[in-house]
Amino acid sequence: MSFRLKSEQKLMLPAAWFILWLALLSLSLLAQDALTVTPSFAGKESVAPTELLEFKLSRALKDEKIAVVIGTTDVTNLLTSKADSVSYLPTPFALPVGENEVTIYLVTNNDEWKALAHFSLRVAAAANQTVAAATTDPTAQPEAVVTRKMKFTPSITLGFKSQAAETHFPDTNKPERPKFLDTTLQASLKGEMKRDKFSSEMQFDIAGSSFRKEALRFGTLGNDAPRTDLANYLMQFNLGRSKFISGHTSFGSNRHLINSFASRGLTLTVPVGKQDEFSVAALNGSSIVGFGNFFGLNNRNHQVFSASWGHEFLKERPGGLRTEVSFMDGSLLPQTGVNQSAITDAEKSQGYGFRLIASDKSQRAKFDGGFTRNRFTNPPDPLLNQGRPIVQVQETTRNAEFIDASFDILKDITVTKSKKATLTAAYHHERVDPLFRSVAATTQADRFNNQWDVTGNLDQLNITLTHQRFNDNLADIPSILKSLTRRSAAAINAPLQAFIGNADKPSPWLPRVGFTYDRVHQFGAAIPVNGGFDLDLSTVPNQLSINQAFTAEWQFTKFRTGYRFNRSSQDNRQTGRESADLYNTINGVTFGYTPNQKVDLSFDVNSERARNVENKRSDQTWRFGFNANLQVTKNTALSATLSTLNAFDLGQISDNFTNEFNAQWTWKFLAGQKQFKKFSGQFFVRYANFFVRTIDRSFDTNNLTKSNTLNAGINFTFF
Amino acid sequence: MAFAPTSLQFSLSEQARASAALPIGKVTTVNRTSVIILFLVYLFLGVRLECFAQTIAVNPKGVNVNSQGATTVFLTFGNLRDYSPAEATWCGDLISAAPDQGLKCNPAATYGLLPSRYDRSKRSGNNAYTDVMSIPASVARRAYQAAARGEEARFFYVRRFVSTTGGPDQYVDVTCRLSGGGARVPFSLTDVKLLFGKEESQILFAETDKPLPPLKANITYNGTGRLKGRWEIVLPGEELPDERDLLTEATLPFEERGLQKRYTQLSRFNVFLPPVGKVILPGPEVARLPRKVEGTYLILLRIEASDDREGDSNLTAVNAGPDTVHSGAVAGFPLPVLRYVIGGIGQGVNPTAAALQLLLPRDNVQLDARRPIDFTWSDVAQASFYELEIQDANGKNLLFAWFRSGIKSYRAPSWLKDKAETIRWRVIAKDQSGKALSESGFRNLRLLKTK
Repeated sequence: MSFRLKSEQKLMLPAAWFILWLALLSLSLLAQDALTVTPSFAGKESVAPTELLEFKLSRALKDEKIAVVIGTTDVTNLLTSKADSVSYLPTPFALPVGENEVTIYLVTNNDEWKALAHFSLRVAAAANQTVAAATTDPTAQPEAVVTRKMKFTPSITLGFKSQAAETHFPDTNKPERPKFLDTTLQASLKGEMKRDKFSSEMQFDIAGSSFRKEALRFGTLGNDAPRTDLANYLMQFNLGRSKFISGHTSFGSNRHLINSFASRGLTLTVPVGKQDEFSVAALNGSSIVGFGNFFGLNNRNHQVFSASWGHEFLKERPGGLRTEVSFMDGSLLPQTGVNQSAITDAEKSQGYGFRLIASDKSQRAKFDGGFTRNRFTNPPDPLLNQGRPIVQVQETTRNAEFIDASFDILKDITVTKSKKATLTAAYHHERVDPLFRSVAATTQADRFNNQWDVTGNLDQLNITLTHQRFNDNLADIPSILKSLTRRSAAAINAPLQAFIGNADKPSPWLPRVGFTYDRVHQFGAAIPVNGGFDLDLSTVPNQLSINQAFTAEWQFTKFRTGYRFNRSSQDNRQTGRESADLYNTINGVTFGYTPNQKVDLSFDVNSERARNVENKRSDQTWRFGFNANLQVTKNTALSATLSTLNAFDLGQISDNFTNEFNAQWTWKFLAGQKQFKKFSGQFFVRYANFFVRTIDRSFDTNNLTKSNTLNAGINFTFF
Repeated sequence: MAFAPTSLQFSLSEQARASAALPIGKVTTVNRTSVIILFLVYLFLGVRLECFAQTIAVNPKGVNVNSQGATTVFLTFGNLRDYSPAEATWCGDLISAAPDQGLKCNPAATYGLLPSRYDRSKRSGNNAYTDVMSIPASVARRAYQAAARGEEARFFYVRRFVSTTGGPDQYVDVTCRLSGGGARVPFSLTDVKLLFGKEESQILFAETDKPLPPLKANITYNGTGRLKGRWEIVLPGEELPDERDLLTEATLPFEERGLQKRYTQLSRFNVFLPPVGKVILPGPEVARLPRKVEGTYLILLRIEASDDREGDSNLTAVNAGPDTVHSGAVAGFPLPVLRYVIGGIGQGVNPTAAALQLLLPRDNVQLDARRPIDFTWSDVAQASFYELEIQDANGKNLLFAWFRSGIKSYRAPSWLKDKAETIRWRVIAKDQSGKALSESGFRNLRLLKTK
């Protein structure tokens, strides 16, 4: 059976027109939906290295983003967006001179990058280029690694430094060596080797001086310290993904057990399968220098051993759900590391810990938590007991735990056409038992801490709000003071250029500003019994402190300036200390002028005022500082610094004046460029003057010290 | 019968107590009648024994200390006359020092003696003696454990003074009350560590004119107050500082303050430290660090004395001077120095060292190439920009990406997986002018194109 309309013939033509119209409409809509980009430099022969580049869009962006890659550099994050265009101002990273390819991508909401357009961009050299080059310094780029490679780079610098002339006042300030001539040595050896899956890297640094007191280990060995000694070394051997390190390294990621413990020693990391990793370390108890104790394992009473096992539950998303188990056994003598000073003890601890790290796929929710159980004691310390019987420390086993959790309540929410917002809430919890101590982690024991943070970002505006509550004396021992602390803080940072004025031509007069507010109230929970506090109630604290700071920074092409304000108050409220309050106010201004790469000048003024309410005393400090650096020629440089400080109290009881000046001229020369023929030298002359007068009429002191020194030296560097 | 002498509001002659042969302990209950009898005995004997009465006094007489860590307190002993200081002892109980004067430590409750490494004491001013009491954490631990056993929490620091004329020794005690180490504890530094961003490098070697990483001081402290002072530098060829020069100003007797040797100032700081125990003090701007002359440089942290009510030592109270000495930011040790060496080839090779920490992906992990790849790193305080570098296994640059400060993550383009199977990446922090401030080491990453 068939069915045909009588008017079929008459309908054919209109139907055809309708279909054609539909087709044209669809094409039109498709054409409208297709995004095209027109660059501002189209038709131009070349652009300047710092010229604004603008890309006009044929339509507004929907749920998608534009990405701009110039050469191999993604500059998307530095773009300024409008409804129908994006623009890129190449400062401080100027465009590389020459031909560049610009690729515009459309980034879809599922993070697919689709190339929209390719443009050729020719950048002509500017007459006076004062901004940083766009490309990373090629000399800083690591050299290509080939499957077989061996390379060693030595360097030796021999120096002669002297104090040619010196004057001083008073005579008691006569230096140990008014005039001297010393020889110094510094040497480095760097090596790389690679063969198939095996590779190694190493570096040794050595420093020496003919003057014994400059020896690296003079502080510990005195006159037995070798004049030339090992400053640092590192040897790393890689076999596939396994790694073995000998030298100065760090180990551990358990907050309360062993946390980035840095010292000299051995570490080994071995991946086990695709989801597990095993690490083990044996390290000296503190950082050391010198050839002695080369592996850091000479003294069994001053060592840390640790092992950890990490397991990734989500093979395809490392870090998504990870657990770490750590063990540590350590013993310390009362010694500190090379760059550290502290009140130390003989200590010994042993413990284990768990850590769990998790995040969701979108990284909006993050969790980091851990638990540690540790045994600790203080072994006998001959310097503390000095041959007498003293009360022994009881060995204690204690726990510590922490939780850090955060969630992005808002993530990349479009607020305006060009600005997105993120809002993150975070919670931090920590409980550390009384007397908890691990020799390989810095922990504040006897503390129960809870902290809440909210962080918001709107484009470059950043706001952080924090509230923290912690207390001590967790065992509630009645004779020990229990302090409660309540802390609230806020911080705001923003470049005003991003919010005020024309984003394409940001006004340099709009500064980057920052403000912080920190309020801490600490007070005793009660008056301890039999602790000595009840005799004087002012010994139980009740203090409110408020600290506020404001900064503003301006950056012009050649000038830079900044202003800094800080005010703090300490308000004591406990009985007997009501008036023991302190107020401090600081104002500081800095100026900088860099007309070209050869001249750099800076000047700063600082005013500090301190008011002691109880003593009815106000102190004022003024400081003026001036720095100048001049690159006179390619090989000659001059530098000078001047600093003047005047500190006095308004009651004219004390008056301190300090003046410092030094000037230095350096000249360097180069002979030979190639690796083993390279030879260079450097000569310097320096004059320094110091003047310090300290007057206190209350103590009837009037100290004056003065000194003038003239130093000169010459260095020769080989290789 | 026992009583606590510190609970009395008037001063008793310890010689009188000794003459009365009274045992002295720590029980605070005071029998009023006993006190009256004692007072009468004192009046009777005190006149006769005046020439043997204890003369040396100390200020402050009592302080709050940290129960879980070390504490340092500036003390002034006055009226020394012909006495010279001897050892100092901590203990949980005092007994009569008879036939000597004062109260001395009960040998059964001794917690330790001031180790020589922290003994900064010296004669000063008007017949006075400046002492810096550095209580090791192990001594506080002993006191805490005694308190946990139900004994009194306070303990004592007793300094013995020996007569140079054959008289009896004098023992002078300071009461230490256990607290959390916050407000009302003298403001003192107990641990100071200076470091460049590269924690593993004890001594930094850097190439001439190449940027140095930012430096900082990790400081653990007690109390609260203003930390003010200067960052200074010892230039190659200059005379080195001695131990006294490295002490904080508040550690010195008043008359020695201002006499420490000065060096070229890099910057000045004056910051408020709330009673929370730890602070990271940023170093001077890295651009201020000299790097033109080859040689060894020493960065010094010079801390000036600040006004801290809890650390005040009242010289008038002990007849040692006309006024009060402020000792905020006292430290029982010379502050460390941070060395760096300019010249040679620098330490760029160190693959584990980084001021700027890479977070994710971890080193040597394998990722599913079909999923987005997010690179994350830690913030650097002074950075204005970050540069992310991605290279293939042969070191060929695949992609750079630039970011403003505050941005600490980057989602790689979807086409990156087509460029290489094994990549390595790092991040460089840059200042406002684009100069590198610090850089991380490289991390390796393998992109698995599983179906």
